[in-house]
Amino acid sequence: MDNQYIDNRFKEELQGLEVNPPVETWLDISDALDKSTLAGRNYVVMRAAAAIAVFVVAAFSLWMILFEQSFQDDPIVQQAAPVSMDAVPSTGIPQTVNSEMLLADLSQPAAIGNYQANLPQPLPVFNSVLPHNIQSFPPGVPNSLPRRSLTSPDSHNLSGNFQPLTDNAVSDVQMYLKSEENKSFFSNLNLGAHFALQYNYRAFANQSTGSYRSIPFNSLESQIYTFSAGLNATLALSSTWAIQTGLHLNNMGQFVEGILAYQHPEHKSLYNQNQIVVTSFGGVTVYDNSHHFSDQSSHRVLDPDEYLDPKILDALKKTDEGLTQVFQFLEIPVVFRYKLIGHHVDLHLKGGMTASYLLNRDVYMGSSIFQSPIGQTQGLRQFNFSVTGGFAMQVPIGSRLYLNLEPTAQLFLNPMVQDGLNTGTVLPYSFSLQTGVSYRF
Amino acid sequence: MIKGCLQGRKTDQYRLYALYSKKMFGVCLRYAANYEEAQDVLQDGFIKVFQNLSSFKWKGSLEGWIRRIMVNTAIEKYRGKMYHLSMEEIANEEISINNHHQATDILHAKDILALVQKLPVQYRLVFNLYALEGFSHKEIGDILKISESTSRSNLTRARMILKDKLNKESEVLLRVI
Repeated sequence: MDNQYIDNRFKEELQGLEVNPPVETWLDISDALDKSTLAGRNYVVMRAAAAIAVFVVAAFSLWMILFEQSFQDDPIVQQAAPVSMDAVPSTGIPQTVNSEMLLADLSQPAAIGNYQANLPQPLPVFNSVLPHNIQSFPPGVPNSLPRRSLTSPDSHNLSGNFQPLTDNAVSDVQMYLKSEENKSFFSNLNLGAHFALQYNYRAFANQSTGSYRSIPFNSLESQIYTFSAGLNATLALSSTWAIQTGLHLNNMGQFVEGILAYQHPEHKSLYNQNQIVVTSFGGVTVYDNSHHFSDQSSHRVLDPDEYLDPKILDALKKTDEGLTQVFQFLEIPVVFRYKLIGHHVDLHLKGGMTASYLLNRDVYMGSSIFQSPIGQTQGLRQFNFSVTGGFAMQVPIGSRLYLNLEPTAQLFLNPMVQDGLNTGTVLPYSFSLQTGVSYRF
Repeated sequence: MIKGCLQGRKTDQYRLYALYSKKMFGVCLRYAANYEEAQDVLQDGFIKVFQNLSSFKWKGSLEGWIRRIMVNTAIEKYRGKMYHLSMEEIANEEISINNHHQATDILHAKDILALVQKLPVQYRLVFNLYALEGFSHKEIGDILKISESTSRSNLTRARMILKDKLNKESEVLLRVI
């Protein structure tokens, strides 16, 4: 028996050897592939996506800083630096400005400076505070499939290795493959709901070039915290891409500082016409005529041309300070989601557009919205569009139930102020943490 | 099918697996010491196939490419487990060389496979690479990171063990017949 005979003998028998592997080997491979989306080319895509996300956030931040800077560089705004609270008249009735007087004054820059130098200092800022883990079997795989067991290695001794697939196992694999191929629309669908606490403010795309250019809106208005809620439907387009839509109720807005409200002790109506308060979002028409509003920090209150008896003025008492503008939208987002990480916890990058219909534009006195509104913001655009982006994290809390955490940013693309007072191009934006649950069919 | 595999479609991945898994499991069984280890090699090998399919340039056969991945996966798995048998261990191996050309012909593939699987890991790798894959001793030395002379020595020892066990198995079978 020479070496050549040995080599040939083994080569003849073993080179073309074909043996059916166990059924569960494919299922283990399938599971491993599902869990390794970070590996290979997906890792490169993930890094690119992360770089884009960082770039977008950085660009947005820079844009915000530049707008802040350009506003502060405005010479008129610099002159408008408020003075002391001590300048409030002892009578408690601060000076208000007639709209005609205001327009006349603003035509003389020097006069504006002098006028504003005498304005009382703004009050401190009081913000309105309002409140996917499968086992080795993928879903749908019948439980009857055998699994590899390392507890009994002798069960696969060599003499038993050449067993063909059992009829049941073949049938189960075929059923699994068929179910994979015939996945229906609903098997790719994910339905959920969310609630979000939200930081809201606005950016100026262009400074006002009109009558109210001298009003330092930026230092007289501040952010508010609101909430949003909604129903979501997500449809998987592939193993990494999904499209999401839904119906959201979104509250945005801002706080207007330095507006003092005074009321007659007997709640008598003081005016027959409405007062108007100028804000960066346009004019707030105050329907509650039992109040007299006064601007402590600038010249934003436009009184009706009515004579108010000095005796009445003396009798008025301060009731509140500041105004809260709330804009309530009904929104339909269309957002694309890309899966960055697909391990036990899924992480998605998301981005898209949102169509917003303005439902409510109420204005509240002070910082609480849990009271009756005293007016409305006028001249706002009814339909608006915004861009949305962020991350979405899905944590499995049941076989098909997921906890969702989605840090989300939203920026309006069109100016909200449509007509009326020319206060510049104002774009609301928000940062929110959407928290909710979803069910995957 | 390949396009579908690159897009991550499970059905296409299964079709590719079903097409080559039987042949590749045969390869894995030759390199592995037992059925379970062969299963592990097959599983790890196919995961590499699917993860690296985009790097396949279509310059050779796909089957050859997959086969190389399986062999490399097996070598990676067993390279660390290779150890040098001491002279005492070699001396203790009972090796008797007889001439039973006719008798060995009655052994079946599974018996032949069992003989290879029972070889010490370094002999098994060298025998597979030389006798069945057609690599030279220099290439085997590079692959397993051993010297050329060690490869020759391991092949000689593998052949001696196989001849001995082949003869013993044949004798048993002849007695039964």
